[in-house]
Formats: sequence, structure tokens, C-alpha cells
Amino acid sequence: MAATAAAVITRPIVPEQASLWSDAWRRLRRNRLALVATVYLTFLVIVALVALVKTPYRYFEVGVGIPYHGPSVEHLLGVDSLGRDTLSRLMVGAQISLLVGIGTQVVVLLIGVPIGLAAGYFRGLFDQVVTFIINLFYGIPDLLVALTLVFLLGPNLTNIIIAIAVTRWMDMARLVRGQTLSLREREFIEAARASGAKPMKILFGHILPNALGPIIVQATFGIPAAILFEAFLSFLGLGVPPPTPTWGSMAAEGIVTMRISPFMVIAPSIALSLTLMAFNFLGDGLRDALDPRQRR
Amino acid sequence: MFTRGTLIYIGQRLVLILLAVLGVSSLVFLGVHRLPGDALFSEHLHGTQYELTLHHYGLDRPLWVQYVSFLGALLHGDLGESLVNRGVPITPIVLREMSVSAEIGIVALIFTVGVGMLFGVVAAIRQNTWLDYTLSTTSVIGYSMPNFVIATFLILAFGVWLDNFTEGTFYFQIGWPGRYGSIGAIWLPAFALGFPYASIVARLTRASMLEVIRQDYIRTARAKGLREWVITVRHALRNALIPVITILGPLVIGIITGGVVIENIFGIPGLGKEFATSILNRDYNIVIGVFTGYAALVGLANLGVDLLYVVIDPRIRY
Amino acid sequence: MAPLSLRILKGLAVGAVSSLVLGACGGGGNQSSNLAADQTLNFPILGDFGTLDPAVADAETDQEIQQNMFDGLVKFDDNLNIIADLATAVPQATDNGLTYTFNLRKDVTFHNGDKFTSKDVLYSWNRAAAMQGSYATNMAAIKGYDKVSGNKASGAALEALLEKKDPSVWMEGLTAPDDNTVVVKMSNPAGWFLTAISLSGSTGWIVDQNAVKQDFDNWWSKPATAVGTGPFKMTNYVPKQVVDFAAVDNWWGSPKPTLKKVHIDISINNASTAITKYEQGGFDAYGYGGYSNLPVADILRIKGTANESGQLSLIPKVRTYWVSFNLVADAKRPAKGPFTLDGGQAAHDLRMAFALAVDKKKLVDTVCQGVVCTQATGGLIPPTLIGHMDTTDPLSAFDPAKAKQLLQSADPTGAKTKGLSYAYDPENPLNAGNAQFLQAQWQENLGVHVDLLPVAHSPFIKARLKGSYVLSRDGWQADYNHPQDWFDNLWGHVVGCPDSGCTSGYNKKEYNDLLDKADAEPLDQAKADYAKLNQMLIDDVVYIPLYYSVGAFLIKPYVKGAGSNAFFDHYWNEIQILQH
Repeated sequence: MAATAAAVITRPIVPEQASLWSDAWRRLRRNRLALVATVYLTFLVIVALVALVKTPYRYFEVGVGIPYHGPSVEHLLGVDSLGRDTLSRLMVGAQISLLVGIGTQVVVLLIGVPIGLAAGYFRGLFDQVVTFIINLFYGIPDLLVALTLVFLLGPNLTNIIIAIAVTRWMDMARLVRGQTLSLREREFIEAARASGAKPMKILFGHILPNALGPIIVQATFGIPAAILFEAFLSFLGLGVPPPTPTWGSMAAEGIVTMRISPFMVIAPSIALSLTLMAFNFLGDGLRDALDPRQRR
Repeated sequence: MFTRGTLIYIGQRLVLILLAVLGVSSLVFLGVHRLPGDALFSEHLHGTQYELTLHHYGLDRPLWVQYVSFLGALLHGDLGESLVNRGVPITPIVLREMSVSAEIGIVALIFTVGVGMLFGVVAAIRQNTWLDYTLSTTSVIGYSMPNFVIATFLILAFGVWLDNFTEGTFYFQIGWPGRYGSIGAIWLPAFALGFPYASIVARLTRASMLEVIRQDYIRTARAKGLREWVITVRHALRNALIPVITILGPLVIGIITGGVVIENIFGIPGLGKEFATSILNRDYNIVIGVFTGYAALVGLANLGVDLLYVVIDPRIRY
Repeated sequence: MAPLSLRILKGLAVGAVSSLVLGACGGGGNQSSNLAADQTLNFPILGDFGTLDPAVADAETDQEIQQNMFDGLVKFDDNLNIIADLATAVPQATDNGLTYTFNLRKDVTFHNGDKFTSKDVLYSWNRAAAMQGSYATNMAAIKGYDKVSGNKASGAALEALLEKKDPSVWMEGLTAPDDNTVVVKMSNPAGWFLTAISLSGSTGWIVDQNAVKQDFDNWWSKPATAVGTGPFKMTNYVPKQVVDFAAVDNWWGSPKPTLKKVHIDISINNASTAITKYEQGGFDAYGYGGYSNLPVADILRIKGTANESGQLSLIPKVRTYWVSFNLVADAKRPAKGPFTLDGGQAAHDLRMAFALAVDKKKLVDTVCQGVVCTQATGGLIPPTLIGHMDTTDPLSAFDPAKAKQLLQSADPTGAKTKGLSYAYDPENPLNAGNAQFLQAQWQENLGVHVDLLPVAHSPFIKARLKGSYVLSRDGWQADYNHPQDWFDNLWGHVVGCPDSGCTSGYNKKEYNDLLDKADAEPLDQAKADYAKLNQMLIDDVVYIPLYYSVGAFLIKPYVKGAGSNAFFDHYWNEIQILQH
């Protein structure tokens, strides 16, 4: 009976949520920048998927063009210092950049959300410990810690994702904790608790869905930061090892040849820049759409 | 402004910073010493020389003995000797490099906040004009381009193109004269270091200015016939400062981190350059030293920011 | 015989062929009227030197700088002839090659005013032998070296032993009948002895006990105690930032230095930034001090300019690069892999497949742009050196069809070649380019994916010499013009193969026997045997030859006398700054 009661009490939230999401979608569509960003990112995902199957040249194949040469009909974005086709490498780089960006946020979610939920919900000593650890992590420069982790673990895609996530989970944990703290006082949560719902059920069934908006926004903003960090690692020679091209490693390679072969740096930089902008605009749009009060 | 409470607070924070420094350096010490292999020597040591060198660096002792003596030395401000530049003590190097990084960081911070806010205000006042769009575009580039690309481009633009264009009359001269450089040597790296963050500050300032400008008290002020710039500076800007202050902490950390790239590209002998080179050289003693330096630098910078809050916002008390 | 010297490649280094003088205005003549008022030479090194102590120096940069601060009894001139330095003449060996008698100059003083005498020679050489730096073996033929090389004391304790001429650190073969004579008794004839002690900035060079004993390990880093007899003395050293030298007033030797100051910038470690600064006029030279591996892109760009192309000098180096296989799997060598000698014909075919699958010509044209290296077609030893092959090295061929066929017979399932990786040190941009090129070629022509394993230079060399890699970047720069330098130091029992100091582990009995025979022979007879050794390596497919490298220097037209030869930069006291 108790379960039924809880179900009855919580039921009205469902249509409310549904309308929240459809409202958000409507608002998002009206935001031109966010719409353009969505279109671009969709395009990028398609490019990344196409690159799995076919690229104009094989991305690792050397000497398919004259090294250092600029754009031509055969090589639309020019050729790099080993005579590899820049466009093909850029396409494969899209996969890696998306993997780094999204992969990091998945790990961040996996660490940050449960910790934030638990800290906000159970409060007390656990919360204090979590808050202390979060503050501790904020006190040290995240990029340097991540850099050291990559250095100690060895540079590869997985380690880079882990290293970034380890230094970025606090934002998510703090956000979720804050959301949980305020949500747990709301009537529908109290009602659920009164009706005997288990904490797990309350956390993941009631609190999490209602905190999803800000979480999505936060994760969206986290993606470009991770992509940029991979570029930073590449510059220091600690990025994803060759031959796998990443936009960061291509740009880092390109700055050496900037003066004779500007396209080697321009192409990946613009790809990087557009993608970072797109994620930022999308984040802005999502924030406005999901939380109209915060609108600027 | 600084009450007795504030001083006590500063004292407590300094103790915390010391603890953080000890903690960070201990972690790195242990992390580095559990790395596989005798990662510590150049390849040429054979036989007796190898043992002599091990002994010289005290690496033939058990780890915990090494750690205790490391901690003891650290408390006396001694970070040991470089493993690559044999016999060279690390502490003076790290201190010197810390001060260089702090110097360029402070210049970059002033630039970031000053220019960022200026652009933000201008963009807000001239909302939806070409000026607004230009500034918005620039700031977008600022936060969406890797800083090493920006820095390389700046060297190319100001160090090469400008040199050719003005036929050597005015251009950015690469280099770092003396211990603390010169104004001519600092401005471009500081600009490169602050540029991405200036963009963020400009964005924030613009947004909050736009919000403030529409508020009633601004309308009132305008109705009273106050001049536009008086309104801007006295009323709007002050309120626009608040969001900037809130991101000052992350900003400072960002600038310190950005130094790793900028110092490398511009050839500035700071902690950031040391960080990258010592990691790649596997000079673990310096790696430990540099981390210790960074922990101190970040702690002190955060304390500085917190104290700045007190200065700017009289409501804050510690 | 012990290995003569173990100059291990530093990834960055100088080099040039003997008898080449750099710069269009390198001619002699006294043009003092054209000299600029400011005689300061300003150039960068992209990383700090490790030490300036001749006893333990091992990196190229260490030696390039030291050769201007210190002297040997004999030294190389720019054309690599051995000439007298602190000795009055180059001595002839007497007593069937067992004795050398050096007469010393009487007019030499150290920078601090101490007079140079035979005591300093005894101190410096015994100290170097006792400290066992990488070039300590230069002293190996002196009677008593074996005992001193076992020394366990260091620092102040070693200084105390040296002070009282303790037998444990004092070679009995070294004696000084008077202040101006040194007699060296050898334990066996060693025709290479004079060459070894001539090596610039290494163990044969002379230091001052009064200065050294003030800080036995670290005296070289402070201007007050960094004291030698050379034309330049240190005036300022800020580690990792700058080091300054000034010409010594009334220096005893010749030519008298024209330069008044040498300013070396250590703060820039980014090659492109440093080259831009050179182009701005901030440096007078680039490539000096062991940094002649300019980025290819910058070389191409500068070659294309009207005003700067003349400042660029490209000089073939006495250095070879190849790929090494791991050939021995034993308990002390962590790498195993499919290429080991005990794998018989199949492993042999596999090595051959990997060698033939690489288009070396294309590699040279792509990675080096045909500018900074030439294809290694004449065996291990580069052109101009004794031991370079007249015939074409069969391993330098490119034959993808045969490679594929060999692979299929040796590894039909592909199981053996799964999970291979190629290790390299990425500091040298060419190594990084090569690694990616090799990876692409093996993928394309064999269908084998090889992972790349970039490891920082110093740990890379260490791990490589312990036999940690199945496939690795390998290379050697000649210390002197003798094939023994190559075949002793890279393979066989002399260097310690298979278990120590040995990349491939190659230690065949036939190789060792022939090596011992060749090393004992006079050079004329030995040549044929060394050629057989190279052939043995070819027959066993021990290496994949890639290229001989070329060094690049940028020198402003007004810098006269600057340049480089096969092993080192021209001495600073030969350089003049003309009006500009």
C-alpha cells in the first residue's frame, strides 16, 4: 500500500516534467546560436562516423602528397610534414576529440553524480568529508595534476580521459550536491520519503530526474574544456600517441611549420575553435532553455 | 580594513598553505619514487660510478629513510640537488622561477581584469553595434583557441610581421633580459597569457552590465541628468565588478597553469617552463621541487584573492 | 681492451666533416680594422649543460662549452689533426708504444693565477680515472688504471685520497720527474691514446686542484672556482637561464681571443622561438653548442629566403641512424619479441621483411626533405670515415613484394607480429617523424600494426641499452675516425653484450673472435676485418639502415671564423665579430 501511495503522490510530477522538457526543446529551437551549434555538432558526429568507414586517404599513410603543401584539388586542406592528407586526419581527429570530450564527461558524471547525491542527501559527516575533499581539489591547479597523472600513467586515450575526469569531477559533485540539498526539502521528496521509499529510489527516481537540467548544462560546458586540455597535453608531447591524429596534436605540430605551411595549424585550430564554440553556445542555449529564470 | 580577525585568518591560512605544500610534495615524492626502474640517472654510469651516484643522492637508503630526510630538508627549505645538472641545488632555482612566474602572472592578471572589463563595458554600452560584435568575436576566439596557437601567432604577428612592416623600428623582441625581464619582454607573453581569460571577463562584464543598465536606479540616475560616463563608472561598473570577483580564484589558477605553455613558447625562465622540461627530462628532484613551488604559489595566490575580496567588498570579513 | 670511449648520442649534437670551414667569409687574413666595437658572441642552447667538469662530462653541449675553458696536453685543431696544447709538442710513443713523455709549457696559468705544472696533469687524470665518468676509459691503457677504476670514494673523501696520492686513486703509470714533464707508462700499446686524450672537454683535460677542492662536485658551476687554462673564463652562471664567459686577459696561447664576451642564452628551449630571435638579430649564431638539428620546416623556409639562405650551412655529420631489433632473449633482457636469433630462419626472414618494407629513399625525401639527412646506403659507417662501404648495403633496399612474401612465410597467421612497438626518443623532431613514417610503411607494406612508444631521451637510452625494446631507434656518432669505435661499442662482448650496454644483444662468437682480431691489428690490416664484421651484421639482418645525418647551422655574415667540424664547434678564440 505504501508503494502505491507514493506512486499516487508522485504521479503528478510526470506530466510536469514532460512539459518541462518539451518547453525546453521549444525554447532551444528558438535560440538561433544554439540551433546552429546543434546542427554543426550533428554534422561533426556524422563526419566522425563517416571517418570510421571512409576518409579521402588513409590518415596514417605518408607521402600521399608533397609535404608542407597547401590546399589543392587532391588535398582540400593541404598536406602535413610527412605528406599525409590533412583533411583525412582532421576527420579522424573529430572522433578522438569527441571521444575525449564526451568520455571525460561520462566519467565525471559517474564520479560526481553519486557523490554529490549522497553528500547532499545524507548530509552530516559524509557531506563534510566530501566538501573538504572538493575544496582540497580546488586548491591545486587541476591541469598540472592531470598532466602529472598522464605523465605517471603514460599517455594514451584512456589515461587522458581518466586524468581529466579526476580533476574535473568536483564541479559536477558540487552542483549535484547543491541541487540535492534544495530538492530534498521539496514537498514531493518529503512525501516520497514519508511513504517509505528507499533512499536509492528517492535519489535516482526523484531527485536525479529533477536535477537533470543543470547536470546536462554542466556536462555540456565540460566537454570543450576537456577537448582543450587534450590539446594542451599534445603541446607538451603527452597527448594521444601517434599515428592517431587529434586536433590538438595536429595544431601542436602545425605551430612549428606555421611560417611555411600555415594550413597545418589553421585547419585543426579552426575545427577546434568551431567545436568549442558550438559546445559553449549549446551550453548557453541549454541553460536558458532548461532554466528560464537564469536567462540573460 | 585588516582587523585583528583578518590577521589571525591570514595566519591560519599560511599554516594551511604550509600543510598543503608538505602534502603535495610528499605525494609527488612518493609517486615519483615508486616509478618503475632506476629512472634517476643518465645512461653513462657504469659499475662503481653508478653506486657512487646512488649514494650521493641518498638513493641507496630505504624509501622511508629517504622520505624522512626529504621532509626534514624541505622544512629547512632545501629541495635537494638536480639529477641532470649534477650538483646544482634546486631551491634557489625554484624560488627564482616562482618569482618570475608570479611576476608575469600578476601582469597578466592586471591585463586580464583591466582589458576584459573595459571591453565588456564598451561592448555593453555599444550593444549590437559593430564594436560589440567585433569584441564578442575576439573574445570567442580567446576562449576557443588553444593558447599555444595564440601565442605562436602573436610571436609571428608582433615579432616578425611587425618587424618587417616597420623595418625594425618597433616590434616584439624575443628574450628575457636579466632576472625579471623588462617591460618590452613582458607585455606580449602577459597578453598571450591573459587573453583567453580577458575574454571570459569581458563576457561576464558585458552580461552583468547589460543587466545593471536596465535597472531602475540607473534610469533614475539618468533622469537626474547625470552624465553617461559618470553613471557607467560610478553605478554600473561597480556592480559589474562583482561577478568578476567571483571568478578571480579560478582565473588566477588558470593563469598559473597557462604559464606552462606561454613560458615555453616565449622562452621565459619561469616555473612553467621548468615544469615541462623537468618532466620530459625525468629530472625527478626538480619535478618534486616544481610541484612544491606550485603548491606554494597557488596557495599564496588564493590567499591574495581572498584578501582582495576584503578590500573590494567591505561586507566580507574573516 | 676496454671500450675506448662511450660517447653516447645525446639526440642533439654537432658534427661536420673534417676540413670543412663554415661561412663564406671563413678565409684567414687580418681584418682587424673591420672589427665591430662590441665583440660579444651571443647564441642559444636549448637546454642547460649537465656539468662542466671534464672528468664526468658526457653530453655534447658540456664538451662544446668546456673546450673553450680548459685545455688538454694535446688537442684537435679544426681539421681534426692532433696538435700540441699544454704540451710543447705532440710526443711520439717510445719503448714499443709503451711510454709517452710530455714536455709541458712553462708559461701557462689558470684563470685564478695558479701556475700550471705537471702536478695538475697527475691530479686531473687520476681524478678522472677515479671518478669513472663516461669517458674515464680514455685513461684505460695507463698502467694502474684497472685498480683506480674500482675506486669507491667520492666527494671530499676522494679529494682527501687524491691529496695524499693514495695508491687506490693514483695510477702508477703516471709520473712527473719535474714540474714540466709528465711520463705516461702504458699497460699495453694503445695507438689510440693520443686521440683519446685529445677529445675536447673530456677526461684528458686539465683542472686546477686548488679550485676543485673547494667544492669537489660542484666547483664548475661558480665563476670563482670554474677555473681552467683556456682562453675564456666563466663570469656568470644562472642555471637554466644564462651563462656568460669573458676572454682571459693576456692569455698564454694563440690565437689570442678577439671576442671579449660570449653570452649563452639557456632560457629559450623552443627551437622555433630561438630561430625567430636569431632572425630578429637577437643571436649571432644558432646551432652552436650541440644544437644543429634545426626543425626541417625552418630550414626549408630559410632556404627559400633571399637574404638569409646564405647564412644557413648544411654539413654532413659523422653520424648514422638505424632501427635495431632485439636479438637475444634472456633473463636480464626484458624484451623478447619475434626477431631473436634463436628463432632461426623464420626470425631472420621476419627481420628481413621489416627491413625491406621500409622505403628509405622516400623516408629521406619526406622526413628530411632531402636536406637534413642522406640515405644510409654504405653500411653503418658514414661517408668520409674509414670503414664506409663502397658497395650498396643490401639492407638499405626497398622491396615491398619480397617483404610481404617473407612475412607470409615467416608469420602466416600474423600471431608473431601482433602487439609490436617501436621505441624512440621524441626530443629530436626527426626521430618523431621517422617513427611515424616507419609505422606507416610497416602498416602499408606488411599490414602489420606497430605501436609507437615515445620515451624521453635519457630514460630511452638507458632502457634501450638494457635490452628493453623489441624495435628501437638506434644511432651512433663517431668519436674518432676508426671503425673500432663502431664495432666495439655497439655489438659484441667488448661493450658487454648481451646483457649490459647492448641494444640488440648481438654477441655471436664469430663476431667476437673477429672483433678481437681486428682490434689488435694495425688499422691497415684491420680494415678488411671490420668490413667483414659489417657484412656479418648484414647477413644476420641486425639493423635497418636509415640515414646519415646532416647538421644545420645559422651564422650571421658578420661572424667570422665560426663553424664546426666533424666532432665539435670551432673554438671561440677563432671567432671575430665584424662591423655590421
